[in-house]
Amino acid sequence: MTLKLILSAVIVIASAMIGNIYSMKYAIRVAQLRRLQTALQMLETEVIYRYSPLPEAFKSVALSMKGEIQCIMEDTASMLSDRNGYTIDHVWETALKRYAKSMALTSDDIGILLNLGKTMGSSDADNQIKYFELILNQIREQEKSAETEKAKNQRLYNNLGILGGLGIAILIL
Amino acid sequence: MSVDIDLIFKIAAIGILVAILNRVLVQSGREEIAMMTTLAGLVIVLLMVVDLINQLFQTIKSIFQLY
Repeated sequence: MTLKLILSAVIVIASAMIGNIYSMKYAIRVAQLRRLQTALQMLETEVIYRYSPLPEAFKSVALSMKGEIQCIMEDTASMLSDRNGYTIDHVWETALKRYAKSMALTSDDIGILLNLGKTMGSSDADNQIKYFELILNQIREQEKSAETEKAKNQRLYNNLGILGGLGIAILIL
Repeated sequence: MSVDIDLIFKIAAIGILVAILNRVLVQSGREEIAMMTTLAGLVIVLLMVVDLINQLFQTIKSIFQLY
C-alpha cells in the first residue's frame, strides 16, 4: 500500500513537471523575442550609426547578449571573419538553423529572422534602416501574439499536467 | 453487498477530475477538447462498471426466470 502511494505520488509529480516544461515554452518564447528585439536594435545601431562592418557588428552585439542569441551572433561573426566566401545570407541562415531547435521560437519567427539575412548589407543606409524597422515591427507583432498565447496556454498546461497525473494515478490505484 | 466501496470512490474521483479538467479547458477556449475529455471520462467509468451492469442483468433475468 505504501509503495503504491509513493509510486502514484511520483507519477503525479512527474506529469506536473511535464506540464510545467510545456508551459515554460511560452514564457521562454516571449523572453527570447524581447531579447531578439534588443539584439536587432543594437545591430541596427552598429550598422547604421557606427558604420562597423558586419563581422565586427555581430561580434559586439554578441558581447552584450547571452544564451542562444549570443551563440548565433558569435557564429555569424566568426563565420564571416573566416572569409570563406559565404554570403551573409548563407552564414546567417546556417547560424540560425543551428540554434533554432534549442530555442522556443516558432517557424514563423525563424522565417522573419531569415528574411533579415537576405537584405542585410545589400543596400545603402536608408534602405537598411527601413529593413531593420520592418523586421523589428514583425518581431513586435510576433511578441504580441506570443503574449496572448502565453496568457492562454501557460496555466492550462500547468493544470493539465497535474490533473493528468492525478487521473493516471486514480486509474491504476 | 459484494460491490467494494473502493470502486465508488474511484468513480467519484474520476468525476471530480473530469469536472475540473472540463472547467480548465473551457476557460482556455477549447470546448471541443473539453467535450472529448468528458466523453473519455464517461467511457472509462462505463468500462469500470460494465461487469457490475452485466451482473445486474443476470440477476434480473434470474429473478423473473427469463432464461
